[in-house]
Amino acid sequence: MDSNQQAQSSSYPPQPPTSAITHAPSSTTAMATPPFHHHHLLQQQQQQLQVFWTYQRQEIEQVNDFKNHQLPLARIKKIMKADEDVRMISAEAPILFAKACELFILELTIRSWLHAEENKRRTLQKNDIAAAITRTDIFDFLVDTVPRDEIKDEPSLGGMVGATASGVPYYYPPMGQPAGPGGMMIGRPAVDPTGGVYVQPPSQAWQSVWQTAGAEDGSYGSGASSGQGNLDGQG
Amino acid sequence: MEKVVSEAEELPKAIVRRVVKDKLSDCSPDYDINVHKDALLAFSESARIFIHYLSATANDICKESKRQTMNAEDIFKALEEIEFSEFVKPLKASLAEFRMKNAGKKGEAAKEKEMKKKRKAEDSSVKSGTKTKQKKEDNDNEEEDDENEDEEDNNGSE
Repeated sequence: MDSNQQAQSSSYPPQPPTSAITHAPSSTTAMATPPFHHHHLLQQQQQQLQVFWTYQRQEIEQVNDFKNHQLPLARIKKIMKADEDVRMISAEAPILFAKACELFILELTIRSWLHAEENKRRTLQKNDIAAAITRTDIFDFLVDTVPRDEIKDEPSLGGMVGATASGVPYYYPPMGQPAGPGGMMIGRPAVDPTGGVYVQPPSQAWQSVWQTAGAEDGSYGSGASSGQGNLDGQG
Repeated sequence: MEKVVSEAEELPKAIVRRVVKDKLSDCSPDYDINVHKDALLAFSESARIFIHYLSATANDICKESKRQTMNAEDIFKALEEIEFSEFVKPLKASLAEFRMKNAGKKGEAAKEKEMKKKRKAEDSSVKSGTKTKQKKEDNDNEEEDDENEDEEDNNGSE
Protein backbone atom coordinates (compact mmCIF):
# COMPACT_ATOMS: atom_id res chain seq x y z
CA MET A 1 0.00 0.00 0.00
CA ASP A 2 2.70 2.38 -0.75
CA SER A 3 1.29 3.62 -3.93
CA ASN A 4 2.19 7.13 -2.93
CA GLN A 5 5.78 6.66 -3.85
CA GLN A 6 5.08 5.44 -7.30
CA ALA A 7 3.54 8.61 -8.59
CA GLN A 8 6.17 10.99 -7.36
CA SER A 9 8.66 10.61 -10.09
CA SER A 10 6.32 10.77 -13.02
CA SER A 11 3.09 12.34 -14.01
CA TYR A 12 0.11 11.29 -12.10
CA PRO A 13 -2.13 9.28 -14.28
CA PRO A 14 -5.50 10.94 -14.35
CA GLN A 15 -7.18 7.80 -15.45
CA PRO A 16 -8.16 5.09 -13.04
CA PRO A 17 -5.06 3.34 -11.92
CA THR A 18 -6.10 0.13 -13.52
CA SER A 19 -4.88 1.54 -16.83
CA ALA A 20 -1.47 1.23 -15.24
CA ILE A 21 0.42 3.40 -17.65
CA THR A 22 3.64 3.67 -15.82
CA HIS A 23 3.13 2.12 -12.48
CA ALA A 24 2.84 -1.59 -12.44
CA PRO A 25 3.21 -2.26 -8.77
CA SER A 26 0.22 -1.79 -6.54
CA SER A 27 -1.62 0.29 -9.04
CA THR A 28 -4.94 -0.66 -7.67
CA THR A 29 -4.30 1.14 -4.45
CA ALA A 30 -3.46 4.44 -6.11
CA MET A 31 -7.06 5.35 -6.24
CA ALA A 32 -7.34 5.09 -2.55
CA THR A 33 -5.54 8.37 -1.86
CA PRO A 34 -6.16 10.63 -4.88
CA PRO A 35 -7.33 14.02 -3.56
CA PHE A 36 -4.45 15.03 -1.31
CA HIS A 37 -1.74 13.44 -3.35
CA HIS A 38 -3.02 14.81 -6.59
CA HIS A 39 -3.01 18.29 -5.21
CA HIS A 40 0.48 17.94 -3.92
CA LEU A 41 1.67 16.73 -7.27
CA LEU A 42 0.09 19.58 -9.12
CA GLN A 43 1.75 22.02 -6.78
CA GLN A 44 5.08 20.48 -7.45
CA GLN A 45 4.56 20.66 -11.16
CA GLN A 46 3.48 24.24 -10.99
CA GLN A 47 6.53 25.12 -9.01
CA GLN A 48 8.71 23.41 -11.53
CA LEU A 49 7.02 25.26 -14.32
CA GLN A 50 7.50 28.55 -12.55
CA VAL A 51 11.14 27.90 -12.05
CA PHE A 52 11.43 26.87 -15.66
CA TRP A 53 9.77 29.98 -16.99
CA THR A 54 11.62 32.33 -14.69
CA TYR A 55 14.81 30.89 -15.98
CA GLN A 56 13.64 31.23 -19.56
CA ARG A 57 12.71 34.85 -19.04
CA GLN A 58 16.10 35.58 -17.60
CA GLU A 59 17.71 33.95 -20.58
CA ILE A 60 15.68 36.06 -22.94
CA GLU A 61 16.43 39.23 -21.05
CA GLN A 62 20.10 38.51 -21.16
CA VAL A 63 20.00 38.14 -24.91
CA ASN A 64 18.24 41.47 -25.14
CA ASP A 65 20.97 43.05 -23.10
CA PHE A 66 23.42 42.16 -25.79
CA LYS A 67 21.03 43.44 -28.40
CA ASN A 68 20.84 46.77 -26.64
CA HIS A 69 24.36 47.53 -27.71
CA GLN A 70 23.15 47.34 -31.27
CA LEU A 71 26.25 48.62 -32.97
CA PRO A 72 28.95 45.98 -32.80
CA LEU A 73 31.74 47.01 -30.46
CA ALA A 74 34.48 45.36 -32.47
CA ARG A 75 33.50 47.27 -35.57
CA ILE A 76 33.44 50.52 -33.67
CA LYS A 77 36.84 49.80 -32.31
CA LYS A 78 38.16 49.19 -35.81
CA ILE A 79 36.75 52.47 -36.99
CA MET A 80 38.36 54.29 -34.11
CA LYS A 81 41.66 52.58 -34.70
CA ALA A 82 41.67 53.71 -38.32
CA ASP A 83 42.88 56.94 -36.84
CA GLU A 84 46.53 56.29 -36.11
CA ASP A 85 46.62 58.81 -33.34
CA VAL A 86 44.20 56.76 -31.35
CA ARG A 87 46.17 54.16 -29.50
CA MET A 88 44.79 52.67 -26.35
CA ILE A 89 41.18 52.90 -25.40
CA SER A 90 39.49 51.66 -22.29
CA ALA A 91 37.13 48.73 -22.52
CA GLU A 92 34.25 51.07 -21.87
CA ALA A 93 35.04 53.37 -24.75
CA PRO A 94 33.42 51.35 -27.54
CA ILE A 95 30.30 51.00 -25.47
CA LEU A 96 30.05 54.75 -25.08
CA PHE A 97 30.75 55.23 -28.73
CA ALA A 98 28.08 52.75 -29.71
CA LYS A 99 25.51 54.62 -27.71
CA ALA A 100 26.74 58.02 -28.85
CA CYS A 101 26.54 56.87 -32.43
CA GLU A 102 23.01 55.74 -31.95
CA LEU A 103 22.02 59.07 -30.45
CA PHE A 104 23.74 60.83 -33.28
CA ILE A 105 21.88 58.86 -35.92
CA LEU A 106 18.63 59.64 -34.13
CA GLU A 107 19.38 63.36 -34.22
CA LEU A 108 20.28 63.28 -37.86
CA THR A 109 17.19 61.25 -38.65
CA ILE A 110 14.82 63.67 -36.97
CA ARG A 111 16.29 66.68 -38.69
CA SER A 112 16.37 65.00 -42.06
CA TRP A 113 12.80 63.93 -41.62
CA LEU A 114 11.79 67.54 -40.94
CA HIS A 115 13.19 68.52 -44.29
CA ALA A 116 11.35 65.75 -46.04
CA GLU A 117 8.16 66.79 -44.31
CA GLU A 118 8.59 70.39 -45.36
CA ASN A 119 8.79 69.19 -48.90
CA LYS A 120 5.82 66.93 -48.47
CA ARG A 121 7.69 63.77 -49.21
CA ARG A 122 7.34 60.41 -47.60
CA THR A 123 10.70 59.17 -48.65
CA LEU A 124 13.82 60.34 -46.93
CA GLN A 125 16.45 61.26 -49.46
CA LYS A 126 20.07 62.12 -49.31
CA ASN A 127 19.38 65.78 -49.86
CA ASP A 128 17.27 65.77 -46.71
CA ILE A 129 20.32 64.71 -44.80
CA ALA A 130 22.42 67.27 -46.60
CA ALA A 131 19.92 69.93 -45.64
CA ALA A 132 19.91 68.83 -42.03
CA ILE A 133 23.67 69.06 -41.99
CA THR A 134 23.61 72.52 -43.47
CA ARG A 135 21.03 73.78 -41.05
CA THR A 136 22.58 72.45 -37.90
CA ASP A 137 25.72 74.08 -36.63
CA ILE A 138 26.95 71.12 -34.71
CA PHE A 139 26.81 69.04 -37.87
CA ASP A 140 29.34 71.25 -39.56
CA PHE A 141 31.92 68.52 -39.42
CA LEU A 142 29.78 66.58 -41.86
CA VAL A 143 29.74 69.16 -44.54
CA ASP A 144 32.27 67.24 -46.57
CA THR A 145 30.73 63.89 -45.94
CA VAL A 146 27.41 64.10 -47.65
CA PRO A 147 28.02 65.24 -51.16
CA ARG A 148 25.13 67.05 -52.61
CA ASP A 149 23.28 65.99 -55.65
CA GLU A 150 22.03 68.31 -58.29
CA ILE A 151 19.53 70.54 -56.74
CA LYS A 152 16.04 69.31 -56.82
CA ASP A 153 13.61 72.03 -57.59
CA GLU A 154 11.82 72.24 -54.36
CA PRO A 155 10.13 75.40 -53.26
CA SER A 156 11.82 76.59 -50.15
CA LEU A 157 10.78 78.76 -47.30
CA GLY A 158 10.28 82.31 -48.43
CA GLY A 159 12.65 84.32 -50.45
CA MET A 160 14.80 83.39 -53.26
CA VAL A 161 16.43 80.10 -53.55
CA GLY A 162 19.69 79.94 -55.32
CA ALA A 163 21.53 76.91 -56.35
CA THR A 164 25.07 76.95 -55.37
CA ALA A 165 27.75 75.11 -57.15
CA SER A 166 27.24 72.44 -54.60
CA GLY A 167 23.58 72.18 -55.35
CA VAL A 168 22.14 72.90 -51.94
CA PRO A 169 19.49 75.54 -51.89
CA TYR A 170 20.38 78.57 -49.88
CA TYR A 171 17.88 80.66 -48.18
CA TYR A 172 18.29 84.33 -48.51
CA PRO A 173 17.21 86.19 -45.45
CA PRO A 174 15.40 89.42 -46.03
CA MET A 175 18.27 91.40 -44.59
CA GLY A 176 21.41 90.44 -46.25
CA GLN A 177 24.70 90.45 -44.54
CA PRO A 178 27.70 91.61 -46.37
CA ALA A 179 29.26 88.94 -48.42
CA GLY A 180 31.44 86.78 -46.34
CA PRO A 181 35.06 86.85 -45.51
CA GLY A 182 37.37 87.18 -48.40
CA GLY A 183 36.78 84.65 -51.02
CA MET A 184 34.59 82.42 -48.96
CA MET A 185 31.47 82.52 -50.94
CA ILE A 186 28.75 80.04 -50.51
CA GLY A 187 28.21 79.94 -54.18
CA ARG A 188 31.76 78.99 -54.60
CA PRO A 189 31.98 80.52 -57.96
CA ALA A 190 35.45 79.14 -58.32
CA VAL A 191 34.01 75.94 -59.45
CA ASP A 192 36.23 73.01 -59.20
CA PRO A 193 36.71 71.93 -62.74
CA THR A 194 37.17 68.33 -61.87
CA GLY A 195 33.60 68.26 -60.79
CA GLY A 196 33.55 65.35 -58.47
CA VAL A 197 35.68 66.91 -55.79
CA TYR A 198 33.89 69.04 -53.34
CA VAL A 199 36.39 71.68 -52.40
CA GLN A 200 35.75 73.00 -48.97
CA PRO A 201 36.55 76.15 -47.21
CA PRO A 202 36.47 75.82 -43.44
CA SER A 203 32.95 74.97 -42.60
CA GLN A 204 32.31 77.49 -39.88
CA ALA A 205 33.04 80.45 -42.05
CA TRP A 206 31.18 78.74 -44.78
CA GLN A 207 28.20 78.17 -42.69
CA SER A 208 27.79 81.68 -41.44
CA VAL A 209 27.96 83.41 -44.73
CA TRP A 210 24.62 84.55 -45.93
CA GLN A 211 24.22 86.27 -49.15
CA THR A 212 21.72 88.70 -50.26
CA ALA A 213 19.94 88.00 -53.45
CA GLY A 214 22.51 86.96 -55.94
CA ALA A 215 22.12 89.91 -58.24
CA GLU A 216 23.40 92.37 -55.70
CA ASP A 217 26.46 90.47 -55.01
CA GLY A 218 28.44 89.94 -58.08
CA SER A 219 30.63 87.30 -56.65
CA TYR A 220 27.92 84.75 -56.54
CA GLY A 221 27.12 85.13 -60.11
CA SER A 222 30.65 85.02 -61.30
CA GLY A 223 30.52 81.37 -61.78
CA ALA A 224 28.83 81.96 -65.04
CA SER A 225 25.42 81.80 -63.62
CA SER A 226 23.32 84.10 -61.63
CA GLY A 227 21.23 81.58 -59.93
CA GLN A 228 20.11 78.12 -60.49
CA GLY A 229 21.54 75.86 -62.94
CA ASN A 230 25.23 76.15 -62.46
CA LEU A 231 25.66 72.54 -61.85
CA ASP A 232 27.72 71.38 -64.70
CA GLY A 233 30.42 69.13 -63.55
CA GLN A 234 29.12 69.03 -60.04
CA GLY A 235 27.61 66.31 -58.05
CA MET B 1 52.07 39.02 -47.63
CA GLU B 2 51.06 42.62 -47.60
CA LYS B 3 47.72 43.49 -46.26
CA VAL B 4 45.60 45.35 -48.73
CA VAL B 5 44.16 48.48 -47.23
CA SER B 6 40.57 48.39 -48.26
CA GLU B 7 37.86 50.95 -47.80
CA ALA B 8 37.09 52.19 -44.36
CA GLU B 9 35.18 49.94 -42.04
CA GLU B 10 31.51 50.68 -42.11
CA LEU B 11 28.74 50.28 -39.64
CA PRO B 12 26.39 47.40 -40.36
CA LYS B 13 23.67 48.57 -42.71
CA ALA B 14 20.93 46.60 -41.07
CA ILE B 15 21.50 48.18 -37.71
CA VAL B 16 21.71 51.69 -39.07
CA ARG B 17 18.56 51.03 -40.99
CA ARG B 18 16.77 49.80 -37.92
CA VAL B 19 17.73 52.82 -35.86
CA VAL B 20 16.58 55.18 -38.61
CA LYS B 21 13.34 53.38 -39.36
CA ASP B 22 12.38 53.09 -35.71
CA LYS B 23 12.87 56.78 -35.24
CA LEU B 24 10.94 57.60 -38.37
CA SER B 25 7.98 55.63 -37.16
CA ASP B 26 8.09 57.73 -34.02
CA CYS B 27 8.18 60.89 -36.08
CA SER B 28 5.44 59.78 -38.36
CA PRO B 29 3.17 57.25 -36.74
CA ASP B 30 0.37 57.55 -39.25
CA TYR B 31 2.19 56.64 -42.37
CA ASP B 32 5.39 54.95 -43.31
CA ILE B 33 8.40 56.91 -44.28
CA ASN B 34 10.71 55.18 -46.69
CA VAL B 35 14.40 55.65 -46.73
CA HIS B 36 16.21 55.93 -50.00
CA LYS B 37 19.22 53.68 -50.38
CA ASP B 38 21.56 56.63 -50.83
CA ALA B 39 20.18 58.22 -47.72
CA LEU B 40 20.96 55.12 -45.73
CA LEU B 41 24.54 55.21 -46.94
CA ALA B 42 24.71 58.86 -45.97
CA PHE B 43 23.53 58.00 -42.46
CA SER B 44 26.17 55.31 -42.17
CA GLU B 45 28.93 57.51 -43.43
CA SER B 46 27.90 60.37 -41.20
CA ALA B 47 27.92 58.12 -38.18
CA ARG B 48 31.32 56.83 -39.09
CA ILE B 49 32.71 60.35 -39.38
CA PHE B 50 31.08 61.21 -36.10
CA ILE B 51 33.02 58.39 -34.48
CA HIS B 52 36.23 59.79 -35.91
CA TYR B 53 35.37 63.28 -34.84
CA LEU B 54 34.48 62.31 -31.29
CA SER B 55 37.38 59.92 -31.09
CA ALA B 56 39.95 62.46 -32.21
CA THR B 57 38.62 65.04 -29.80
CA ALA B 58 38.60 62.59 -26.89
CA ASN B 59 42.06 61.44 -27.83
CA ASP B 60 43.39 64.98 -27.69
CA ILE B 61 41.85 65.50 -24.30
CA CYS B 62 43.38 62.25 -23.12
CA LYS B 63 46.81 63.22 -24.35
CA GLU B 64 46.50 66.60 -22.68
CA SER B 65 46.03 64.84 -19.38
CA LYS B 66 49.25 62.95 -20.08
CA ARG B 67 47.53 59.61 -20.16
CA GLN B 68 47.82 56.80 -22.66
CA THR B 69 44.41 55.31 -22.56
CA MET B 70 41.26 57.06 -23.64
CA ASN B 71 38.65 56.65 -20.95
CA ALA B 72 35.04 57.53 -20.28
CA GLU B 73 35.80 60.95 -18.83
CA ASP B 74 37.74 61.93 -21.93
CA ILE B 75 34.76 61.02 -24.02
CA PHE B 76 32.33 63.01 -21.91
CA LYS B 77 34.56 66.06 -22.06
CA ALA B 78 34.91 65.61 -25.78
CA LEU B 79 31.16 65.56 -26.21
CA GLU B 80 30.93 68.88 -24.41
CA GLU B 81 33.64 70.29 -26.57
CA ILE B 82 32.00 69.35 -29.85
CA GLU B 83 28.71 70.70 -28.55
CA PHE B 84 26.94 67.41 -28.17
CA SER B 85 26.48 67.92 -24.47
CA GLU B 86 22.92 66.66 -24.55
CA PHE B 87 24.38 63.21 -25.16
CA VAL B 88 26.26 63.20 -21.89
CA LYS B 89 23.39 62.39 -19.58
CA PRO B 90 22.00 59.39 -21.46
CA LEU B 91 25.51 58.11 -22.02
CA LYS B 92 26.32 58.28 -18.34
CA ALA B 93 23.17 56.35 -17.58
CA SER B 94 24.08 53.76 -20.17
CA LEU B 95 27.55 53.44 -18.75
CA ALA B 96 26.28 53.01 -15.21
CA GLU B 97 24.01 50.23 -16.40
CA PHE B 98 26.85 48.52 -18.21
CA ARG B 99 29.10 48.74 -15.19
CA MET B 100 26.48 47.19 -12.96
CA LYS B 101 25.91 44.31 -15.30
CA ASN B 102 29.59 43.76 -15.73
CA ALA B 103 30.14 43.70 -12.02
CA GLY B 104 27.67 40.87 -11.78
CA LYS B 105 29.24 38.98 -14.63
CA LYS B 106 32.70 39.54 -13.29
CA GLY B 107 31.62 38.19 -9.95
CA GLU B 108 30.30 35.04 -11.53
CA ALA B 109 33.25 34.63 -13.82
CA ALA B 110 35.62 35.12 -10.94
CA LYS B 111 33.78 32.51 -8.93
CA GLU B 112 33.97 30.06 -11.78
CA LYS B 113 37.64 30.67 -12.19
CA GLU B 114 38.14 30.10 -8.51
CA MET B 115 36.37 26.77 -8.71
CA LYS B 116 38.31 25.74 -11.77
CA LYS B 117 41.46 26.66 -10.02
CA LYS B 118 40.57 24.58 -7.02
CA ARG B 119 39.74 21.61 -9.16
CA LYS B 120 42.94 21.88 -11.06
CA ALA B 121 44.92 22.23 -7.89
CA GLU B 122 43.34 19.04 -6.68
CA ASP B 123 44.20 17.25 -9.87
CA SER B 124 47.56 18.45 -11.04
CA SER B 125 49.08 21.78 -11.91
CA VAL B 126 47.60 25.14 -11.04
CA LYS B 127 49.58 26.95 -13.67
CA SER B 128 47.00 27.42 -16.41
CA GLY B 129 44.31 28.49 -14.01
CA THR B 130 46.38 31.24 -12.53
CA LYS B 131 47.48 32.48 -15.89
CA THR B 132 43.98 32.72 -17.22
CA LYS B 133 42.74 34.65 -14.26
CA GLN B 134 45.56 37.12 -14.48
CA LYS B 135 45.02 37.69 -18.14
CA LYS B 136 41.40 38.44 -17.57
CA GLU B 137 42.17 41.01 -14.90
CA ASP B 138 44.62 42.76 -17.15
CA ASN B 139 42.18 42.88 -19.96
CA ASP B 140 39.42 44.26 -17.88
CA ASN B 141 41.24 47.39 -16.93
CA GLU B 142 43.02 48.38 -20.03
CA GLU B 143 42.86 47.51 -23.59
CA GLU B 144 45.90 46.75 -25.64
CA ASP B 145 45.82 47.22 -29.34
CA ASP B 146 43.97 44.20 -30.52
CA GLU B 147 44.17 41.66 -27.76
CA ASN B 148 40.75 42.21 -26.48
CA GLU B 149 38.97 41.61 -29.72
CA ASP B 150 37.28 38.39 -28.69
CA GLU B 151 36.05 39.64 -25.39
CA GLU B 152 34.57 42.67 -27.00
CA ASP B 153 32.88 40.66 -29.65
CA ASN B 154 31.22 38.57 -27.03
CA ASN B 155 29.85 41.63 -25.39
CA GLY B 156 28.73 43.52 -28.34
CA SER B 157 28.00 41.47 -31.38
CA GLU B 158 24.51 41.73 -32.69
